[in-house]
Amino acid sequence: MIPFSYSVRSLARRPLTSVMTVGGLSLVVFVFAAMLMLSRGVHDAMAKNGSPKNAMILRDGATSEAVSAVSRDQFRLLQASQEVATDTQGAPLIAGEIVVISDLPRSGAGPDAPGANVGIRGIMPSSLAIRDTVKVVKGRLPRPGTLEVMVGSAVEGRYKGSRLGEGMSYARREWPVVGVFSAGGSAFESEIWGDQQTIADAYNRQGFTDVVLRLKDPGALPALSARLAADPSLSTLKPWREDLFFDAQSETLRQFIVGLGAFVTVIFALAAGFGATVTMYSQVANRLREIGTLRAIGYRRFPVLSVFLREAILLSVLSGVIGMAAASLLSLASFSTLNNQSFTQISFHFHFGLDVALWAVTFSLAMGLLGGFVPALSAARQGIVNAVRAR
Amino acid sequence: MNLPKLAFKNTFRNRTRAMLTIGGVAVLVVAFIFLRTVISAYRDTAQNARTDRLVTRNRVSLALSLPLADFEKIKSVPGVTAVTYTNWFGGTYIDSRHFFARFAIDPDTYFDVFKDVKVTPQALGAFKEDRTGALVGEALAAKYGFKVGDVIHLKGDFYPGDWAFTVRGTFKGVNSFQDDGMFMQWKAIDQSLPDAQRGTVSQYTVLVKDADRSSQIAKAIDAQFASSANETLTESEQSFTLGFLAGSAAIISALDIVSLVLIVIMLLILGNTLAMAVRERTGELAVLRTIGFKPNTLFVLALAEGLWLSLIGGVVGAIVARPVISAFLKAASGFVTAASGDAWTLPALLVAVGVGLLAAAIPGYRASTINILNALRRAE
Repeated sequence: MIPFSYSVRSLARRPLTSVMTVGGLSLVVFVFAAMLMLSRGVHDAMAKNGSPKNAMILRDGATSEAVSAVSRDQFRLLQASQEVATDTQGAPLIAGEIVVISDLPRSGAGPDAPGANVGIRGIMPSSLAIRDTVKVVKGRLPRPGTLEVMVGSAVEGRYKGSRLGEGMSYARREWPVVGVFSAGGSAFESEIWGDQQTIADAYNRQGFTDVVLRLKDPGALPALSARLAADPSLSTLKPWREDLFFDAQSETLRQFIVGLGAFVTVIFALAAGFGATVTMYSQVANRLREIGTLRAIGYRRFPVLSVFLREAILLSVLSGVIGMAAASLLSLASFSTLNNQSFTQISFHFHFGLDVALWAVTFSLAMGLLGGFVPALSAARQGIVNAVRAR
Repeated sequence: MNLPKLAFKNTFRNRTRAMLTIGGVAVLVVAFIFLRTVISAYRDTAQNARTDRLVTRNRVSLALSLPLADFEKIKSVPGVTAVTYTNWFGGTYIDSRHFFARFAIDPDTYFDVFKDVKVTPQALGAFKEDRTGALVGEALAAKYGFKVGDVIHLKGDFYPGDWAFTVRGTFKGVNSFQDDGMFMQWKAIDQSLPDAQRGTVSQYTVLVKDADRSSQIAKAIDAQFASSANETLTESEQSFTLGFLAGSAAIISALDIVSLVLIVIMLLILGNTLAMAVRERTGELAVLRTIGFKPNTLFVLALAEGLWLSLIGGVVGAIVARPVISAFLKAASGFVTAASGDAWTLPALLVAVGVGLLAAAIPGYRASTINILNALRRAE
């Protein structure tokens, strides 16, 4: 077999070509990994938002929480539902919430700069028992009946006055920020939470936008649905499994990002495949004499093929590692955009994990093999006599 | 044989390599045209927005409404020539994937303010006659094949219930968002609400006589409602639209970056091919120098080869881009409004050619500075 260092040195002999090939391939891997990380991040934010044990009740036909409405009377009837689980004290785990969208100025922006649509959720004390992924990481919970709010970790610092101890102004009131909460990376982290009644008053709203409850039995949703439909005072409402509801909320955004990611990846992979093939073909063409010599001194076709294939693999693995390493730095950044279904701003993280790293290197390797195989085969198939004669 | 022809022959001397390079450039040009088209579909909405139109909305949030009673007060502000009001209908057509703009408008005043929205008098007349009528944008009509007399079924959210609107005509919107949308009558949706909730509008749009005075007029409008329960925020249509689009700014800048990365990759592929071509022909270039070709000529020869590769790749890409883009936009209609890639064909070709020339610079320089003696020795 031809030693491995032979392949390494032959790459080092053509620094310009090698650097250009690695540069192009690693850019492709970078974009591929970034797209993968982003769609993973979008999925994290939305799927983790809800629990399959919870049900959300909205007005039938409501496309988002902000356009839904549930009256106080309807809420009282729901509180008595037999499907609702109870806490250790026997109180029902059900909360009426209000979600409003407010236009908030970004921090550091001038007075005329456009703001962002931020979701503000008015909660009841039982909301926190139902949404058990929500944890206060700084400060404390807002007290019921006051203007105090806690902000999600993606809100903290992003908007004016949104840091702990500061105050945010909207709806003609000052809202002191007394806490910061995390919610396992979910889209709740892009919201501001405060007292339900205070927020409803500030926005001149009656009742609730939606109701969330913990199901006694996760399979009881169809029964609840049937009971609501049969009750004339509740028939305008529709229950959803909480996780499915939030998943559906981000559907168009996710499809857009995933679709775009797939498109960009296919384009880049094609371009990189062409580029890699060009490089390897010309390596073969330039080195016909070398191939002939190798064959003449007794190496068989397979070792010759493997020399070229190894070069392709070296180039692609190197590019894969560089591209992946660069992409991993993105996990420090977050990405905030408007969800056109809920009409609120949501932040995502680029989610980097071992699987992303493996995919990136595999992708790169696949491109290298695809681009390198045909040229390597053509190298192995050169006739000895012609090859030795080549210039 | 002249220089371009020689360069052309050189380009295709290694046919496989030329084809692969052209293929790579073509694919990148397709992607470039596509991304720029998506980006400008977003941005043209803001660029077409006008400064002599103002938008008045609830100061607290776009999601809150204003009373219809404000209409007369706004109209009486000096400098205001026309006022109209619109509500965002929202709702769902088939499912959430079939997203398009649905506005409830007042047909008597809307077209006085939006003079640039084109509608025939017949269509407008038929729309006014029918309380449950609808006007559809030309792009939307083309996408779903809506014809006059068709019924569009919507499931309401802000306005609960099942709705059926009869198409009475089409209009040509001022931007792709509007052109991909539909209008229904404000009266029809307002009457569906319980008494206590009636008489509210999402926003007023105001036409002013003099665009230079629009910021003073905006302040005058807001002053009217400064101490009311529903304070207003008035800004030019342009800054309103920019604010609206700012939410998606992160996606747009990500696409911007990706489209630049495409150019860099194109540069690397072309540069690589040209570097190889020059290296392969070192001996030949030395012969050309020996028989009297100037270094500059060899430089130009390399540039011309880059030009051929990028030009052919660019043209192939531009041809392929059309069907690809229309297919994608059809699939992603929920997010990107109708747009065509034609506007970006020429810029993409120019970019490709520019990249081709740039990529040829280093190989060209090498070609022009070869050491004739060494090169000839190696070639022997």
